[in-house]
Amino acid sequence: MIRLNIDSASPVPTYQQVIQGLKIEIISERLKGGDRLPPIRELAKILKLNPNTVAKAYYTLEEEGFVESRPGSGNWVKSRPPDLDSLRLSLLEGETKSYLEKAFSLGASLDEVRRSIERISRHE
Amino acid sequence: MFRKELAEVLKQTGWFLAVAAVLPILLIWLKLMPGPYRAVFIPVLEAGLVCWSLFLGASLLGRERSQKAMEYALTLPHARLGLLVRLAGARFLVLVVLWLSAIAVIGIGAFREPRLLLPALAVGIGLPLFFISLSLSVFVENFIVLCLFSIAGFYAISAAVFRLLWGPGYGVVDFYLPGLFASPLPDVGAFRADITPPLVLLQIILPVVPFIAALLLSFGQFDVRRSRRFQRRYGAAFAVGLVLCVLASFGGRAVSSSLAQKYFYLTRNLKIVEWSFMAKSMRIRDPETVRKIRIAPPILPAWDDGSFLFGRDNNEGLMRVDLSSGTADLLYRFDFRQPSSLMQWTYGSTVVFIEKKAGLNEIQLVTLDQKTKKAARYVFAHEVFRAGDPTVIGTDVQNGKRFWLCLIMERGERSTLRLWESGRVEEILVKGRLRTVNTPRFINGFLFFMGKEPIIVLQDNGRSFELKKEFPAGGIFDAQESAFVFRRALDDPSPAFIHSFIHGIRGTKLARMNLAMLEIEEIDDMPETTDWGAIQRLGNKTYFIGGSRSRNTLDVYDLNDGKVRLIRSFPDINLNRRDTRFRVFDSGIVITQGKRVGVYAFPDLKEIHYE
Amino acid sequence: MNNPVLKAERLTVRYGQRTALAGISTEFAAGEAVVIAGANGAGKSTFLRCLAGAIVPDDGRVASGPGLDKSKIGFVSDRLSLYENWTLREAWRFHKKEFGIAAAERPPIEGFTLDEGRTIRHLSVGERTLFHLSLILAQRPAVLLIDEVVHGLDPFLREKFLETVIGAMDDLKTAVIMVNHTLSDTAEIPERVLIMDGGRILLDERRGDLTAKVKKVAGDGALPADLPLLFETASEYRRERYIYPFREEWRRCGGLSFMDIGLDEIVKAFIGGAYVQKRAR
Repeated sequence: MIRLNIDSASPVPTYQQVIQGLKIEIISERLKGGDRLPPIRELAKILKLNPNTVAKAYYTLEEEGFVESRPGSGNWVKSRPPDLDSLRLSLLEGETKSYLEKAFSLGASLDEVRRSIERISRHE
Repeated sequence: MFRKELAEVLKQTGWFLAVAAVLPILLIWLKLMPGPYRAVFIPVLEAGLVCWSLFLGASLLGRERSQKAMEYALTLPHARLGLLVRLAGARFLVLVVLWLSAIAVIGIGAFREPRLLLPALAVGIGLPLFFISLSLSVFVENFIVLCLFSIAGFYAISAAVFRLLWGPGYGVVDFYLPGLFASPLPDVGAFRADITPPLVLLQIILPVVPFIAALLLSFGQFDVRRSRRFQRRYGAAFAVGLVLCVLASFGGRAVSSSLAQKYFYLTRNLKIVEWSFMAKSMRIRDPETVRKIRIAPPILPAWDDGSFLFGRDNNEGLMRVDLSSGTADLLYRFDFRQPSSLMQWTYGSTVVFIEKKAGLNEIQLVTLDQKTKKAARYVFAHEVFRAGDPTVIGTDVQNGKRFWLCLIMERGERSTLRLWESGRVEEILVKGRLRTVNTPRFINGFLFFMGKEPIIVLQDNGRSFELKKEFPAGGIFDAQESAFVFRRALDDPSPAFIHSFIHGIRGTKLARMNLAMLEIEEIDDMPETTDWGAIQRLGNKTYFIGGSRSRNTLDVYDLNDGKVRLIRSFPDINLNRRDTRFRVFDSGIVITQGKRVGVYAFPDLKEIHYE
Repeated sequence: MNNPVLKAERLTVRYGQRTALAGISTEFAAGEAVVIAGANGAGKSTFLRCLAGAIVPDDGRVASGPGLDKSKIGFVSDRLSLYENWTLREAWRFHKKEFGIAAAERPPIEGFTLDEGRTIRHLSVGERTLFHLSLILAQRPAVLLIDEVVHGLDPFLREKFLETVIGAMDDLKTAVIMVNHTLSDTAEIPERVLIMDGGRILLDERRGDLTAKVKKVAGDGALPADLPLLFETASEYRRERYIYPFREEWRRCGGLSFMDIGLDEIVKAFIGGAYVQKRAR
């Protein structure tokens, strides 16, 4: 099942958040190539969004090549999506950025951050 | 929505009918009203229908208010007026059907008692109350307050319209009869077929106009809140409607007054008194002077003695009007609101008449002195008074004691009583019977019973009336003189006034009965050219007044010298026309044809001209 | 706006002496989703009632788009006005006839059924709300006016309600105008936000613009005087300051940081600001 969280406080437009969320699902292979995306109406209901918002997100995903729209049967994840790796990287960098912002606001140094990363990843 | 509303209203009406059916049983069982069932049911239904009319109007928005559906109703895809029409229309339909059914059932069907009350109630009270409460219901939510306002509003505006429309002179009306009954019959309050129904219609419709106008013109602004704008619209439309209503009342009055036929009364000295339906005053015109005299308020003329005119006013009083000045004063106020008849006898300066209350076996005979206005009342009791119409037909003095002869008319029979001043009631029996078919007349101390049965003559011997002469059966003499000779002075000193003959028709011949010998002789041939007519005794002269329907004439013949002599024939008198009438007075004949009036004085019937 | 589906022109409504709507003018496009927020007594419900035709304005008028008659406007009022004595079946039959609805059945609400024989009076508020909604949706309205009904529903019915509205938006492309003062439930549905106060429209912005333009000041450092302060509350342990309209370049202002806030808090700030202004007058 799709895991998507919409942050209504975030300045990021909702449709962007949907796109972002769906891209994460695709990268993490929870949505595989050939899978059908939920119909606009259903996703809108689940997320309590304006169907236009979901429609816009799907449209953008189609433009960016992640998804193809088959008239009559909905939207499907493309089997050979574009460069997932670079997408993964850019998402990762986005997460890192916000992590570092938070870490530095606590007053930690870059060294402390690195050590904490290594310590935690050893335990994982 | 209409159908649903109709269904709901019918359901409620079903409950109402059930209550109306059960209530009489309850009333009878609780001994609040006497049975039988139908005698109680009918008034219960009548009262109930009036209440139901009020309720149906008041409940226009009742369901919406009580079921909290007002907002829903207002957001349905109808214009405000469409909504109003659906809600009001359903109620109106049920109301009309209900009234018509009640009228049909009670008036014709099951109970076989024609009741004019029900249609009158329906149109006069039920429908107006419906429309008024309908209109007020958008404004007032509390049911009791709404009902009270509706009743008060209906009463107040109807009363105002009534005053404006009918005015103070409405009591003075005339009974329209074709010229056959040319004898001076007194005026009786009755419907004027051409004017009164439209006025009655206006009386019913006008009070409702402001309410309907207010409702229709303001409902477009109606909404869930108490909107100032809506209230203002309603008030303004109501005010405008009220003004229109008042103007229409004035208009109605003016139109009917101008359309109204003029009525005339000719006095002994040829003064003509003239008035019209609903007029505020009467006019006296004199052939000798230019001066016009007004009498206000108008009275219903009954008789005159040359200087004074006597008649009834609106407040059930006997008035006397000075013919030279027009000033009126009250002679007598009737004790009972409906005196037995308008007929009065005079002797000397005394007027005598009878007052009676319906259903009682008592009458009150009143003698009134015209000069001093002193009245003496005598009460007499007899069973025949209960159901009949008593009237005085003669008076005399016997051994110093005065008596009056009283004729009581019941449906087809007449009874005659002698009423003594002392209070004694004496039955006058004709061949052993009190009730006869013939009509009595008192002339020269004889009581003549004339009519369908053979003529019987009784003579007063001081103690009773005994048979003097009887004319055998066989229609030998058809007495034609007017059955009631009233406003006649009995003791007029002029000896010519004592009747010498009674005239009548025998076959095609004019005949007369000699009152000294009680013998009948034929005198002359009746005119062939008339196909309707009657012999009239006016003053001390006898005339035959008749006419021809085919030739449209009115012919007057003098019968006095033992001959039938034509005095005058009036051409172009078509008595089938509503606007053509004539009336015979002691001093002359007044003929009206549309706007034209002609006054012709006896004995030669020359036309009198007034300035 | 070309061909607005609904247009309000100088709407004025008075309740006795109090003015509920003070000459409001605005337009709504077809298929648009709008939320109207504001303080209690701001005139939001009155406005909706005018649009629905339940109230005739004292001044001004409501104009509807071409071909749009009263049957195409669906109104779910907070009064949930219906003929209470009727059963659901009767109410549906009546509604069907009045609005000329061709369908034999009402559109179903997933996971929610009612016994058609029940009387409306005996329904709970939630059941009645959803029943009302189903009646309205059967009209296939072009405009859906929803008054403050959502907050009265339990969480389960609330979700059903919202999902049904969303389904209708997708299905009918209906314009939705919702009155709500707790926006968290409906936050993502409307694209446009109207904030009303004292019978007037204080704010009319796209939701995205609004979240970008209203920021909360983090911390209690001093503010430069030229920063547009919308609203401020201060107590011993709390200090909240809201800036509107915010410009992104201010983020890099030394020492100050700004927080992104949700629509609820944005509306709160506006209402608060309006209160302050009223008291100042």
